[in-house]
Amino acid sequence: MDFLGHLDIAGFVVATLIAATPLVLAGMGGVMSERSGVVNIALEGIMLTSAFAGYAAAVATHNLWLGVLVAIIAGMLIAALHALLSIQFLVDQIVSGTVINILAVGITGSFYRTYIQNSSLGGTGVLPALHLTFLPNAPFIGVITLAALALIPIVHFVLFNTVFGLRTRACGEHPLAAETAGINVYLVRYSNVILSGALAGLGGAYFTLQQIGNFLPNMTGGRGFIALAAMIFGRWTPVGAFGASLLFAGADAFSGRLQISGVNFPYQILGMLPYVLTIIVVAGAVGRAVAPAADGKPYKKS
Amino acid sequence: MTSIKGVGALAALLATAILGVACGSTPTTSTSCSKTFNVGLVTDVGKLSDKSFNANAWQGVQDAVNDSSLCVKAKVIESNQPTDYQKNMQLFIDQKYDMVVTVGFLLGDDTLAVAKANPTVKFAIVDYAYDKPPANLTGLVFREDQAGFLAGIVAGKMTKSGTIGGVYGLDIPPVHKYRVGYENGAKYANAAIKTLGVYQPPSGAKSFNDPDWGKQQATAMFGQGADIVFGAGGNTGNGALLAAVQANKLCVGVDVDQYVSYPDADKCLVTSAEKHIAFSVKTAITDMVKNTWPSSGLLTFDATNAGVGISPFHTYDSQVPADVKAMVADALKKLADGSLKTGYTG
Repeated sequence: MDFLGHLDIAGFVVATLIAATPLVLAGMGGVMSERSGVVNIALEGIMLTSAFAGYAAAVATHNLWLGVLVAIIAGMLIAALHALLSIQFLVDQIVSGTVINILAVGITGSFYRTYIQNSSLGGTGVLPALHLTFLPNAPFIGVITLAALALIPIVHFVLFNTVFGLRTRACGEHPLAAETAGINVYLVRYSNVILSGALAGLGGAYFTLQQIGNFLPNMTGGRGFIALAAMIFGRWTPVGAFGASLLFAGADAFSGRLQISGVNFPYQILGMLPYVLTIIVVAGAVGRAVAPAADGKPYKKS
Repeated sequence: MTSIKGVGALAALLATAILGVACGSTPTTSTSCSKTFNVGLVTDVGKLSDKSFNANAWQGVQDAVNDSSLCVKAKVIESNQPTDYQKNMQLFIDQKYDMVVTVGFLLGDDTLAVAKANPTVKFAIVDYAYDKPPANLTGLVFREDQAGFLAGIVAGKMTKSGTIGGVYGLDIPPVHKYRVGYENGAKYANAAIKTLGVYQPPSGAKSFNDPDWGKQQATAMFGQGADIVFGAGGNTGNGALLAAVQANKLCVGVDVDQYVSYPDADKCLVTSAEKHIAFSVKTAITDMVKNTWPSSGLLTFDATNAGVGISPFHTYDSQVPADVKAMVADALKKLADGSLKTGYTG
C-alpha cells in the first residue's frame, strides 16, 4: 500500500478546511440562534435558498461579490421568516424550520426548472481563490473559506465577551429572567435568528460562488443538517462547532483519499461518522452536551 | 419554448394543444412514401435543452425524419415532472403514433407499463435495458467500457506525470464499465501508467449530484500527482472537470461531447467518452420502419456499429499528436473486430 507515500498532508488539510466551510458557517448560525433560544433546523433550507439567490444575482449582474451579498441578504430574509413564525406567532420551531426546508427545495427547484435549466445561462465562474504556491501541489483556498475562518473568533468573541452575547445567552437560558432584567427578548431573538441566516447564507454562497459557479437543485445535499450535528457536537460554541466541522469534513476528505489510494476499506463507514458521533454525544456517552435551557421554547411576553 | 401545463383537462383538447405547440415538427417532403410513420419522443425532466441525453435523442429522431427513405414524421413532448411520463406517452398513443421513444432510466418503469398496455405500438428507450421486455419494446444500451477505453488511450498518452485520475458516480454497471475501460485503455497506451479513481458513496439526493464532492476528489488526485481527470458521474463528475479548470490540469468528459454540453469545462476538456445516442435512436426507428425490429428486446451499441467513440479534441486538436489519434482509430478497429478487449467482463 503506497498510501502513506502519497499522503499529501497540505492538500488534505486544505481539503478539510474547504469541506468544513459550509458546516462551520451554518453551524455557527445554529449556535447564535439556539443560544438565544430558537432552534434553527432551517439551516439547510437557508443555505439552499442563498446558494440559488447568490447564483441568480451573479448571473444577472455579472458580479460575484454582489452575488455573495445577495446570498447573505436572502439568508437573512428566510431566517426572518423563521423568526416571525417561531417568535412572533409562536409556531413550533421544529415545524417552522421543516416548513422552510421544504419550501426552499420547492422554490429553488421550480425557479431552476423555469428560468435556468431551459435558458442559455452558463456558469458564473467562481470567486477568486488564494493560490497557496508555497505548499506542495499548490492548493487553492477560496475566499469564503477564508472568511469563515476569520468569522470563528469573531462570533466566539461576540457570544462570550460582549453585552449582546451575554443577553443572547440569557434569553436562551432564562428568557423571563432576562425580560425582568430589562432585556427585550424578542429583539435579541430576532437579531440572533437573522444573524444565523446571514452566516448560513454565506455558507450557501460557498456552493454556487466559491466551488461550482452554477446552481443545481438540492446542491447543499443535507450539509445544513450535518452543521446542526456539528453545533451539538461542538456544544453550542462557535469554536466547538468549528472543531466538529473539521472532524466531519476531515473524515470525508480522508475517506475519499483512502479510496483514491486503493486502500480496500468500506468507504461508506466514514460517511456515517457525523451521525454516529452526534448520537454518541447526545446520548451523553462522552461528557454532557446540554442545550441552552430555553432552547426551542417559545417565549410569550406576560 | 413550449410549456405543458394544466394536465387533467379534456384529453383530446390537451393533446391538440400540446402537439400543436411542440417544437421541431418536420414534415417529410418525399413523395415516394406509401405510408408515413409517426414517431413521438418523450423526454425526461431534463428536457431538450439538456444538451445531453434528451437533446441527442431528439437529434436522432430528426436524423430519421431527414432520411427520406424512412418516411418518418416526428414530434416531441418535454416532460415537466416525473408524473407526466405516462401521460405524455399516452398522448402519442391516442394520436395513433407508430412508435414512442423515451429517454433515460427515469422512464424505465413507465415505458414498460405503457408498452405492455399497447402491444401494437413500438417503444424504444435510450440507455436502459429490461430483463424480458414485451416484443414491442427495446432497450438501447451502450458499451461504456469501449468508450472509456478509447478515452483512456488519450489520457494515457496526454499525461505528463504518468498518473491519471477518475471521479465516478455510484458504482453501478454503466459507471463501472466506464472506469474499467478508461483505466485499461490508459494502460494499453502506456503500461507504466498509474490510475487513481474514486466512486461516489451512495448518498441519496447527492448521488450523481454533488459537484462539490467531485471537485474535492479531483483536487485530491492532483495532489497525488494526477494531471488529467475523467469525470464520469453526472454533476458529481462535472465537479471533477471544474477542479481541472481551476488547477490548470486536463480533463475528459463523459456520455456526450461535453465541450458542447458543459462549456464551463472547455478550458480543460481534451475529449469525451461518448455514447452515440442520436445514432442509436435513428437505428431503432429504422428497425421499426424496415420491419427489422430486434426480437431480443435489446440493441447494443458498441465499436462494431460506431455506437460509441470519443468526441473531437476541439481546442486540444493541435496538441494531441497524430500517433495518438492513429492509436485511437486503430484501437476502435480492433475493438470492433474483437482482437482487442477492454478487460470488462460481466
